[in-house]
Parts: sequence; C-alpha cells; structure tokens
Amino acid sequence: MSVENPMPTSNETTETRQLILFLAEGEPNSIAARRNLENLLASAYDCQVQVQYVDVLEEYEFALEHRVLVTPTLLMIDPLPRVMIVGTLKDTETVITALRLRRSED
Amino acid sequence: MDSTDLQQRLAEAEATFEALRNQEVDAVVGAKQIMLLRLGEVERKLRESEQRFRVLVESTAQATWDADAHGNVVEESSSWLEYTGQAPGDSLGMGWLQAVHPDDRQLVEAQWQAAIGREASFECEFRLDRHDGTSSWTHLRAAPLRSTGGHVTKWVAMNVDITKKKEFEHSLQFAREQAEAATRSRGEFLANMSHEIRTPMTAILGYADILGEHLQEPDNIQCVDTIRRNGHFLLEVINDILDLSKIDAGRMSIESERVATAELVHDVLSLMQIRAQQKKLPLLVEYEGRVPATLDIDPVRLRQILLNLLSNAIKFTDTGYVQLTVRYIDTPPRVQFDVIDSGIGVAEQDIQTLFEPFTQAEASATRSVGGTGLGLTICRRLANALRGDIAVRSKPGEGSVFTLTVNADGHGELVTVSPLDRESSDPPTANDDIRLEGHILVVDDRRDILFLADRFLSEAGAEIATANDGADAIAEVAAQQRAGRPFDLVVMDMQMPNMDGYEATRHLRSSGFDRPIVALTANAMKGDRDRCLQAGCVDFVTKPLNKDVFIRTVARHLGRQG
Repeated sequence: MSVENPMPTSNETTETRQLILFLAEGEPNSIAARRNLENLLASAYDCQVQVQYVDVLEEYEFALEHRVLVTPTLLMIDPLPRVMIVGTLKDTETVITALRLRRSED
Repeated sequence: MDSTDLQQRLAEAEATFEALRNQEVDAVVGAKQIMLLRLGEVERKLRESEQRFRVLVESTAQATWDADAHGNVVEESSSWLEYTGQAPGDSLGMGWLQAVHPDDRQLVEAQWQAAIGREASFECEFRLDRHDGTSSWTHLRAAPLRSTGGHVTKWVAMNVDITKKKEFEHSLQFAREQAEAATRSRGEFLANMSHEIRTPMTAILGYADILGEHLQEPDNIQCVDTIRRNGHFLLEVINDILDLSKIDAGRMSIESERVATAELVHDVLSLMQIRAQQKKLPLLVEYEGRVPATLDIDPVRLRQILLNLLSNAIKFTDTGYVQLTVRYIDTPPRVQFDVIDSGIGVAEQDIQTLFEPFTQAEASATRSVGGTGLGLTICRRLANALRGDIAVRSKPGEGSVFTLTVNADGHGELVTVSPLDRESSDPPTANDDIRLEGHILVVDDRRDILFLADRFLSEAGAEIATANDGADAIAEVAAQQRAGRPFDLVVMDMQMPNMDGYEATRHLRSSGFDRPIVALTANAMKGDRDRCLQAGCVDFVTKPLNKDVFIRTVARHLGRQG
C-alpha cells in the first residue's frame, strides 16, 4: 500500500479528497487505471488530493473491507458520500465530476 | 439531493457502467469464497487448455465434425475429406455414410438414427473406405450438445483410427482358434498314439513272457528281463502322458464314494511291498492319533497318488526305510498322508520345479532310476482335484517327506487304527490254476496278437479259432453255427481294417448271436468302454494283453453262461 500526494494544490483551499485505487498489480486494466488517474491529477484542482494504491493480489482483505470486488476500482472515502468507480478511468471528465473536483481557474 | 449531487452520482454510475461494458476489469475478489482470480490468468489457462485439447484431438482423431439437432452434418471436416477422398460437400447431411464400407453401412446408419432418436451419446466401430481404395477401421463417438433448456442443439463427433487395434484383436482371435484346434488335435493324436504304441507293446511284452519261460541261461534271461522292464516303462510313459492330457483337457472325472481308510492304505502298501522287498527296504505304516474310519473320496485317484509317492520314495532310497504316516486334521476336516524316506533327497532350489511337467531333480538321478518326470505333476493335479495339495520337505542326502493332504468332508467316525501286519499282505495271485473250457473265436487283424491270445487261451484249456477282420468273423460264426458247434465266446479287436469290431459286433447281435463278446482295444481314452458296450460287447480288455487279466475276464464270462 502506498500513499502519495502528487497534487499541486491551490493555496486557499484546505479541503482534501482521500482516494484509494484498488489494483491488480501487473494486469493491463490496472496499469491503465493508474496511468489515467495520474494524468488526471496532473492538473490543478481547488482542493488537496491524497491517493493510496492497494494491490488486491497482496491485500485482498483490505479490498473486502471496502466492499471492492473487482479491479481496478477507485474509491473516494472522504468526503462522504463515498464514491466508487470501476474501470480504467479513461473518461477523465466523468471521473472529475464523480469525484466532485473543480479545476483551478489559473 | 441537489443537482450537483445527482450529477456526481450519475457520473460515478456512468464511469462504472462503461468500464464493465468494456470489460475493463482484470481481477475479482470473491467476498464469499475469500478468493481472488486474476482474470488474465484465467483467460490464459482457458486458452492453454483449449489448445491442449485441440492438439490432443488433432493427434488422435482422423476427423471431427458437427451435425445439427437432426444428425445432419452441417460443418464439413477437411481431414475427413482428405481421409476418405469424398468431394467437398459430399459428406454433408447423411452423405458421410457413403464413405462407410458397404457391409457396415446399414448397421451404422441404423445405430446413428437410433442415437438421434434417443438423444443419447453414441459410439460404434466400422470400416471406412479410404481414398486409396483400402479400408480401415474407425471408432466413431458422437455426443449431443444441449441448450440450458435441455434441448439438443447440435451433435459433435470424432472418428479415431483403430485399424491397429483391430488387427491385434484379429491376430489374438486367430491365435486362440489355432490353440483350440491344437488342443483338439492333441487329444486325437494322443488317442492314436496310445493305440499305435500299445498294440505293438502287446506283442513285445507277450513274446518276452513266452521267451522267458523257455530260457534257462541266466544271461539270456537277463536280456529278456531288460526287454520286459523297458517295455513296461514305455507303457508307463504312455499312461502318464494320457493322464496328464486328460487332466489338462478337463476330461478326468473325479468320482466320490465311501472308502474304508485303513483298507485303502493296506491295499496300497501291499502293492508296494514287493518293490520295497526287492530293494531290501522296510516299508512302514503309522497312524498318528485317530483317523476317519471312512472317507468320501475317489479311491482310484487317491490310490494313484499314494502309489506314485511311495514308488518314488522306494525308487530314490537305497538304504534306510520308507514310511507312510496317516493323520487327521480338523478345521477344515482333512486327512494328511506323509510319505517319508531316507533317500537321496531334493536340493532346495529344485523343490520349486519338482511339480512341473518333465522335470526331475537331478539328471544323474534320472539316468539311474528312470521315470518320465510326469508323476509328481499328475499327483499334484490329482490332489487339487481331491481338494487338497502336495507339499515337500527335503534335505539332500537325508531324505524327503512328501505330504499329501486331501479334503475329508463327510468322513466317518474317528477310530484308532493299528498298523496292519505287513507280513500278512498277500502277494498277487496268479491265474495258473484257472482252466477254461469252451470254443472261443479270437478276431484281430494282427498276426502277433492272434498268436498271443491263441496261446494264452489254449494253454488255459480253451479251443480256439481265429479270424482276421469283422467280415471274416461274421462268416466264421455263421459257419460254426451251421456245423452245430457254435462259439461260446468271441474276443473282438475293435480297430480293424475293412469291417471294424464295432460294426461286426452290431452285426452279430442283430443276427441273433447271444454269446459273450469281449472287446479288445488299445484305446485307453475315456468313453471307449461305453462305446464297446453300446455296440453289444459285454466286457473290455485293453492292450497290451495282460495274461492274468485276459484269462480272468474270459473265464468270468464263460462261467456266466454256464
């Protein structure tokens, strides 16, 4: 499990998004999902985003605790309500909407 | 829920839905089974398994093909076309049946239709005509595929070349038929050989007897004795081989009758006494504990085994003794006979092979004592037939113990038997004092047999006439009848050229001849006696002619008609 905070965040916000991406390490859809998420987060948003990567092949019990049954699955655990997106996250705009993110205006 | 929330929820659902539709999923975590599948791996394994299956099918099958629910071939197999030489399109529908060998076609079609009707898997073996004009055997296996509702949607089928297997089966069948034929012809051969050897043996042994009576010079007597001894030995060989072949062919019948145990043992010992005395060996008997007064057993076979074991013991013992010990063992009830000797013994490595046909423990021993090497084989098989067995313990130079055990179900009460005094055992009685009175016709095609029979009977006082075959005999009987001097008895050889003994006997009986006819035959096979009696004979004497038995038999029948 790894926690990363690659986010360039805007100075005036203190709001944070906590995401977990459940992966099957080495599998093509999981690789794509991770790449798409990293690309998506390369843009600036009006909040801080923390991402945790979980390999279900190593930690399937953690996946079960979060009721995650397939990979790749992106889970936003904070703020509530919880958001769960299955798949490679290739439709960036839909993902941004689902995660309630807003791009910084600059 | 405000519109932003709704929008966000829709986006969440849309992203997930799209992902599932596009199969952007690569692992499943099973909540219930707590298991985890890498879908990629599953797919790889499926691919692998499919590949393996294909390789397997392609390497074993001549052809695989698909048919619709009605059994019509819808997908043509290129390997089928290649194999059978059918043109593209020809194997579709029921066209493939045209490649089936004409002799098998109707049956295959009927079975195929029946399987379709039953909607059940089907397999059969038949010949396929190949493109090169040859035909080969194939094994067809077809199975229906069903929809989830259970309806047959199509048939899948596979042909496998089984020509090699069929060839092997045919060769086995051929070998079996040949073996059966060989067994049959062996039986016939043995019967014939028995005849061919016994008949001349009659002459050899008979003339040796006659010659022996005329000789005084010890050297000459010894020569005649040698002829006699070897003649008897040769007869033993023939009898042993006949016995063994009868057991092998399952034609030896085992009777069961109530026999007095001590009496049987006494008989056996008195027969062996002479041989033991010749070698100056004491022949002892001992009853250990109480033994059954009677046994339900085949006395002929039990006697045969005991005689064989005792005669072996005497044969292989030069000093010391030979002893027969009898004891009873219960649970299960059986009687054990130990034949104990102080002879040359058997080495341990030879004990294994002792009961195999044509084996004797030591070649040097064989040369000095003779024997066919069949005796123990026969004994063991006979013992098995009496629901028992034979075992052996031995030490070279110290002696042997052969233990015969026989089943004693239904035995009589247990009694104490004291060994009978062997001094009292009677030597076999000779027939020198039997006098024959009567007019006897001897019929045989062989001059030497006629001469012997004539001599034996004349010496005993009978008046003898002879005939050379059946027709001759009929004429002679009729002539003497007309002359008012009918024959009192006829001795009839059964195997003769022109008219044989069976036909002549039937003819004599149908023409009213009512005096005894005694059959003379070299055939020792079972059933011969019945055949002679059926033809109209009253009794039966086997060649070679044993003077005592012959005269006693003739005397008995002459006496009966008064």
